[in-house]
Amino acid sequence: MAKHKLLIVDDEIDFLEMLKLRLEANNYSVVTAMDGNEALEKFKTEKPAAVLLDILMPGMDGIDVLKKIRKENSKVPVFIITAFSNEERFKMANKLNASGFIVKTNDLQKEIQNITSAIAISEGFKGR
Amino acid sequence: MDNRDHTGSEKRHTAMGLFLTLLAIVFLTDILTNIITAIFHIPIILESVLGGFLVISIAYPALYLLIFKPLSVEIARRKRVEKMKDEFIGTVSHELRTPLSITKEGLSLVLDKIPGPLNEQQARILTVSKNNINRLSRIINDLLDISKIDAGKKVVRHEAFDIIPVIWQTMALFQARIRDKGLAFRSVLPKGAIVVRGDVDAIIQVLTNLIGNALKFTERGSIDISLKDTPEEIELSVHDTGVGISKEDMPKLFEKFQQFGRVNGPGEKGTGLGLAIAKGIITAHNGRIWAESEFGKGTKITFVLPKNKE
Ligand SMILES: Nc1ncnc2c1ncn2[C@@H]1O[C@H](COP(=O)(O)OP(=O)(O)OP(=O)(O)O)[C@@H](O)[C@H]1O
Ligand SMILES: [Mg+2]
Repeated sequence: MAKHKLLIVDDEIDFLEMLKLRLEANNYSVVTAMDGNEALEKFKTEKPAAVLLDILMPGMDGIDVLKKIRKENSKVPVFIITAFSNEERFKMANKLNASGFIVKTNDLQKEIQNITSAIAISEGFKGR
Repeated sequence: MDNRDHTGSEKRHTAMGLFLTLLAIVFLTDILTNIITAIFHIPIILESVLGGFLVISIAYPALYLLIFKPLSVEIARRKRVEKMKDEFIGTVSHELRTPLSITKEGLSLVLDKIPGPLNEQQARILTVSKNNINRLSRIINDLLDISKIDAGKKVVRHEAFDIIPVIWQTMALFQARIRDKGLAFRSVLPKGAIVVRGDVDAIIQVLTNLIGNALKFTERGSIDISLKDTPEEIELSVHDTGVGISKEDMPKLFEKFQQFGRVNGPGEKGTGLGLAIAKGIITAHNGRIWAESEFGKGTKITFVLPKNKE
């Protein structure tokens, strides 16, 4: 099976590096972006199978990026990366049709299993 | 925090000010009415109409200047302070958790041998490091919870839920560790659903802290959970046959950072915040929590939670 390409967006370079290693160990190929504009650009050029998006970034924050991504593509799974739960943001992300959350402090290996199944489901949609 | 006392004395001041202002207004309008009636020979029937008119024209600006305006300024100031506090808690938790999660993931990656093989000693050192990073994040969470409780922001949901499955689920999380220690773990719960209204996550946290303590401070015997159901409230207790708490320590039990007779061995040392958080959560639900204990024999912690039916 061909490797799925993921776009990960976070303004913390150290976190990006850790997450990239973890995803590559799970047989994904990874493209990174450190801000909203770079993320949108790479979303268009790289056509990732899913996006992992930090919610709190300076400049254009994750919610705005998610809105713009949804305009381009309403189906691609987008996961919100967050350091803590914040009810309002969760509601907002749900309204914008996010596929789920990655809580930074949780066990990332477990969090990635959710991503894998979300991608499988969206592949299923494409097949029809 | 002594916020509440301030509010209390300020309220008393405001009430006193209001009373004096009203007294002054009544007095003033009465004098003015008399003067005007005397000068212009206004008939008695119209006197009360004039009085009413004067009360309104004097009272409204006076009340506005003396009470409503300072009050609204004060309310706006409080709201700003509250908002700053919230933002502070939010920022601190984000700023602390990010480096923690990065460090934790770094250790996990090496422990999962993703960059390459690892010898036994390296693995052990990294495991200890990772456990302590986890401990640090628990402490940060507890400190944040305490500050949320102080700010009245911990118990946010007031939804109806069935407490029985909540108890089962929490017990299930402890089952293995309690069995490993050779302790009996039993429960006496009424049949059928028992609906209470509150913040289910916060209640799970209380149960977790109480059962966690029972497990930590009991070396032999049993841990028993029991629930009494009445029309207005539930009473839940966690009863262990552990080390117990001495009479001198009892009054400090629910205070922050109080720990007595720290346990030795490989287990976690804790911070002394578990019971303070439990008390904060139960109090925010308008409930009560207390302890009964015999030193060397065991401890029973009980809380009462009003059902808060709509
Ligand atoms: N079931 C119990 N049996 C005996 N002693 C207890 C029991 N529960 C609490 N204590 C005593 O009360 C102290 C405070 O308890 P608390 O749960 O607040 O803190 P902790 O368990 O020490 O740390 P933390 O909960 O923050 O991890 C404990 O350190 C212990 O000395
Ligand atoms: Mg405790």
